[in-house]
Amino acid sequence: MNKTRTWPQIDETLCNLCGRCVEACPCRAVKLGERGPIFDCPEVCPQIGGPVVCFLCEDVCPTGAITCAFEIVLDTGGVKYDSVR
Amino acid sequence: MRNPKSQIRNPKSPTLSQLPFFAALGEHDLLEIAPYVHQRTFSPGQIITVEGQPCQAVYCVAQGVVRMYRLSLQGREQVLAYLGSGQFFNLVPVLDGGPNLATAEAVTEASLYSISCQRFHQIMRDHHEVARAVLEHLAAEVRRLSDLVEGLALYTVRARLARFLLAQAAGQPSSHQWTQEEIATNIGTVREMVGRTLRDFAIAGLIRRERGRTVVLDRDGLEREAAGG
Repeated sequence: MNKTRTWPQIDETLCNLCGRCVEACPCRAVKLGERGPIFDCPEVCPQIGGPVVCFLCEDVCPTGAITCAFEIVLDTGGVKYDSVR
Repeated sequence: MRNPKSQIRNPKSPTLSQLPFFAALGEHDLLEIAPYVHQRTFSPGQIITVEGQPCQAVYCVAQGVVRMYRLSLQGREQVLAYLGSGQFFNLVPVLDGGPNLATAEAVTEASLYSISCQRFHQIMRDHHEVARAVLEHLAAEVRRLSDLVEGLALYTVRARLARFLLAQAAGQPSSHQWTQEEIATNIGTVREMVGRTLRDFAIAGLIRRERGRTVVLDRDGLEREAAGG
């Protein structure tokens, strides 16, 4: 159950090349390739200024081709960042 | 499986005497049962049993993780359980003679022990300790599934997601990487609702969503959400 996944993951068989992920990305970090989106999501988000990520590409994908997998952890009192709206 | 006290193919697999249904049996009884226990390995994603199909056997996870789920005609999944080492499944159809209750799929590479329906009946007839352990297991399953039904019927998606996040965060350390789709199949909703609700929780400051992880920031706040039916 603990398998490593690249991030975000693309299932090219589900992608219909609609381009919504490209339009939604506030960092302009998504380009549309021939078979699906190509991501260059920066480690530090210039829009938010921290490790926080917007997940907008996943949210707008109408077919579920984009998945941003995550583990769920309790806060250990590290640096706080603004929530993504 | 000739020697119930020896490990079989993989040294990490539990021995027959370590399985909960057989823990109360003596060595003589274990030796009697051992020839009826077979071991098979399944690859990640491989289907072990199919909901609605005739029952072939009772299974016990020796190693790995198995996911039990039911599927609607529209293709929506509801996860019933994740099973790990030492946990049995497919008991209900063995006992009531009906078809398989759920589909079982290997999540990781999984090694399973199997006992045919007929042999399992015979083992329960011959060894009341096994029958008692099976009854206790089924009683615990009724309780667990009653909680699942309560969650699905009486709580909102928002409350169910809050409960799920709290349960996963409390289960640390676990490095499982969840997708919104997987969470949806666990809490009885659709991917889009999980995405919207996670965003709501982030806006409310209950969680922080980072690359590869979601951090529970306000456990008390999430518990209030979890209680709100």
